[in-house]
Amino acid sequence: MKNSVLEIPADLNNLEVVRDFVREQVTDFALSEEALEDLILAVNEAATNVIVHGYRYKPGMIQIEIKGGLDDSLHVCIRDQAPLFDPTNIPPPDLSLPLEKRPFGGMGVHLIKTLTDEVKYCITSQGGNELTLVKKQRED
Amino acid sequence: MDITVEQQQGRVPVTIMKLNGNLDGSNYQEVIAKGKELYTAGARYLLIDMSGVPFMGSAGLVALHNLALLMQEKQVPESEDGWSALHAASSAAEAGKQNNVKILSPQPSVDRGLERTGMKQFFDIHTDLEAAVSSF
Repeated sequence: MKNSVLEIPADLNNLEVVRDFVREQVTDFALSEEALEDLILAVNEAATNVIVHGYRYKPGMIQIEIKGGLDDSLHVCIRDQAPLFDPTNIPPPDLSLPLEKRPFGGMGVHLIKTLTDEVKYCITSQGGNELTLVKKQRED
Repeated sequence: MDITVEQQQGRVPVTIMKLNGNLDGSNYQEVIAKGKELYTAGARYLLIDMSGVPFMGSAGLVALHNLALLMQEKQVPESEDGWSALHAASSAAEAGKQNNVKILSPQPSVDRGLERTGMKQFFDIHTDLEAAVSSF
């Protein structure tokens, strides 16, 4: 599987484009439908966080690179130039809280972590954020 | 997001809100706005038909959370609902569920999202419309 890149304005209306891109590019990779849906949801959440919490709805770009064939793993890198922020340090939400005491939101990073095999953060050479989601290939 | 609404009478009047399309950060506020509109019009028992939602992001969870709290606000069983409504509310509370918003026929990926975020414990989930309406 060759690497593929999508560069797109940070706009919530582009989330569908992001999801379609992941689905189309990952087709050749041996993921079950459930694992593919998990990955798509994880990337959707990462892109949403960049738009809402990173750029705070202001104009910016998101780059998504999909790299396959690395140690039988799929790597999806989400890059942006929003203020630096490492979401991997966010503590997990308290899922035991009753509905009325739960904060609205806050599930995005939890989903990213639980739906992928590994989440890595680094600062790019251009000084931006790079979040890498790793999904392992299905073992048949 | 295409949203259609219909009413059915069970033990209580049930508002059925059918969502069609992917539910994500771009449109979850439409769902909340429709819920507020229905609440203002008197709706207190909401069945959200999610059979037409192939994808739901965490923003969709925010919408469901919001609607569940909205529909419970100042909600007191009407006298004509009798003991059955009070018992239903009581047993739902004991189980950690609320009794005002229920979900109909979520697709597997949506169901998994509810499960993984611990939100499933708060919503009765049905696969049969008639049974869902009569469960309120």
